[in-house]
Amino acid sequence: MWWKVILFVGLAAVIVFSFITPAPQQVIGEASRIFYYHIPMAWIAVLAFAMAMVYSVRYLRSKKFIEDIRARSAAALGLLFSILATISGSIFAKISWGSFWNWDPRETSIFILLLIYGAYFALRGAVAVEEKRASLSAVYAVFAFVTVPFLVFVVPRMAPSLHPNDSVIDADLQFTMGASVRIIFFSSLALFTVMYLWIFNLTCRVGALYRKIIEEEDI
Amino acid sequence: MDGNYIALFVTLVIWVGIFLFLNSLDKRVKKLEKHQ
Amino acid sequence: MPNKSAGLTSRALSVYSKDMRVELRSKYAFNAILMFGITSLAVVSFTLGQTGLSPRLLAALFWIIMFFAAMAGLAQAFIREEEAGTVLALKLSADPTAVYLGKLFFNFSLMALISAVITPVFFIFTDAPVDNILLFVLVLILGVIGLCAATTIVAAIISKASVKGALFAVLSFPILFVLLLLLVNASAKVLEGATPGGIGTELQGLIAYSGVMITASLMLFKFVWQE
Repeated sequence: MWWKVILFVGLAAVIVFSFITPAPQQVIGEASRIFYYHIPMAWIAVLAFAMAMVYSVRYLRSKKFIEDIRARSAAALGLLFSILATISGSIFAKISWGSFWNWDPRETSIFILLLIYGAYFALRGAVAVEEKRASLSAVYAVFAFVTVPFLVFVVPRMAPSLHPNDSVIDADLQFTMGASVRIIFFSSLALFTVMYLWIFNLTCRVGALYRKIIEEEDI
Repeated sequence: MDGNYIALFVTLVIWVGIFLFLNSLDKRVKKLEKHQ
Repeated sequence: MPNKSAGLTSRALSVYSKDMRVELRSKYAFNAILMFGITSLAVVSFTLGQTGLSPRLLAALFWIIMFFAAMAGLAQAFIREEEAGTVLALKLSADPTAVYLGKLFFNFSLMALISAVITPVFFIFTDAPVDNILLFVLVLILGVIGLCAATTIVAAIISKASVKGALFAVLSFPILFVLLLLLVNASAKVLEGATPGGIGTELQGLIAYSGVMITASLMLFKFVWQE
């Protein structure tokens, strides 16, 4: 399939150019290359959460199990990408500012997101009856999603100490988004999204097959 | 500069590995779906 | 034609009063919350002493204690029904919205009573500044409303799980995080001597938070409650 070719070649190219071209941010230096990976991962972590919420709503409305499979798949991938984003962000923070964790608004938000995903799967693990498990976790996914606007708008204003971390990132992203940086960055963003959607699709189909084969039920 | 090439190589290998895995998974899932 | 909204209020009130009556008999939830609250307060006070406690630290401690207290007792409203086997009877006698509102007000009452005990004791133990006490109480009230708004539906969710354990705290904390952040900030500023205007952002956030949580709960509750 043609899009797979584009995905493979494209992401390979992004990887190559992310290391060959000059580092996107001169002050921080080589470590800034992690932008090309860390930000797309964080973006997908959030996208996955939104998708989990949407599929949860669809499940509550239709009670069709395929929606629950989709919600759960999105959440699982969201958890994975949240972990990757947190690790890559931490490494970057250590190299640039000397400490792994600072509780600046972005770090705090990704941490809460991790907790939400963790809670979601803890809940799923604690309910034995299938239908109940799907309904309860769907309600929780939606309810947790409702707090996201607060995370985005309230937390940045509540930071007790004025940490320059985020302003440095933002200011510099505007600053040094020269043409080549922009191309690589946005390509990375787009291609990561395509890759995620592919993995999501596969995860859903595996989940549906599992249900069909093991439990001999139709969705 | 050398460090960059190592990182580049490692990342490429990881990506190729991921892609090949996803591809084979895709094929296996397609086969299973046909049998249903 | 029966007036629908009057019906809802009276149905919610009957759920509420039934819960209060049962609670007053055993005082189980009240005692649990009280013990957790007082114990954590005592530990804090004993180990930290009175000197060197900045307003920020005092505020954080106060709300951590309140959080623990909430976790100790706010799930009782629903767990009790499951354990007593009265869930079905409750479902038959009232619609989901009435049940939710009744339980919500029950939790409010619990936390309000607990706050009335813990707050004075907190100020006595820690010798925190009392100049701005009215404003502190305002923040406290909004905080209690927020705590209950966020946790009541979570309590319903975990009451249906087979293994409850720490699930209530695990599910509640991510949702409560923003609330706790707002509360600690607001309380810290109040203890430092802020005016109502000085905590305007926090107040707005607190009101918005409670409003959003209750609205979302009202819409989602029936999916938790139905079989």
